[in-house]
Amino acid sequence: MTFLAPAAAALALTLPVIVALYFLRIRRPTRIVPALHLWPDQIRDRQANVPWQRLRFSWLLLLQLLVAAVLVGAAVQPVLPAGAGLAPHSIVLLDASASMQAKDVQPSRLEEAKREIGAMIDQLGPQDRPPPETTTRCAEHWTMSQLPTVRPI
Amino acid sequence: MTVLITDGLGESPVEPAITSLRLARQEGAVLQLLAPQEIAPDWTGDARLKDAETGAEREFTATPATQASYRTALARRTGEIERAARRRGLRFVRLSSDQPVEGMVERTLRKVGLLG
Repeated sequence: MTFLAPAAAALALTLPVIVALYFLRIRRPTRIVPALHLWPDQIRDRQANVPWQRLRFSWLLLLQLLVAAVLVGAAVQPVLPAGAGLAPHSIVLLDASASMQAKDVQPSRLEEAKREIGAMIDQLGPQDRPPPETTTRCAEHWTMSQLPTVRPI
Repeated sequence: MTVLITDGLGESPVEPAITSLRLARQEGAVLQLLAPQEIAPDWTGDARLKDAETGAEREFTATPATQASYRTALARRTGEIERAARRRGLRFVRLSSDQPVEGMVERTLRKVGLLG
């Protein structure tokens, strides 16, 4: 896996910032009440109540960190190299001269080259366009349908 | 005749005061005076509660559920004071401070029949 925008990894600094914000003391307005003992003992545990208290588990904090991590992951644009890495529009030229009939590669250089072209077409992604036709340098001319291993895309 | 005016919300119970009224063979009444915001607090959110009498403070988050819980605790406390007063033959009236204070005590005492 490679990254198209590795500099965006600097955005990962937002994660410790989120944790630091959790630690910041929440400012609460003071309310005078006549009888504190009549009030239930409830406090929303979404933020720390004393500065730099021990980090306590919080679903909200976890969700915020998760969202930030996903956004940073998307920003660095990870990519997986696929197959031959063909350009969207590829042209394949196949030498069909007499020397390509040599049998040093079985069954022949030409047949092996055609097999290689077929395998290349098989690796094309859905966004890639297959070569509209495969031509020889000189005389002979194949069309897609003549290639033995062409897979419909 | 003795009239005890109190909010009845202190941590120490008011029953001993009511008992001593009765022991002094005093005719009288207990008037519980509360502010509207004490009777039905209408705020929610984060706050630091400070006890007006003891000065104690506590972090708090008010929700409709906690406000209902407070009103229930207040009603229980008021009920205890009223029962203690009536058990000792004293009148009990709960008053809100949003009513005109002037003449409030006198009007109330006339209403409960302690003043002619």
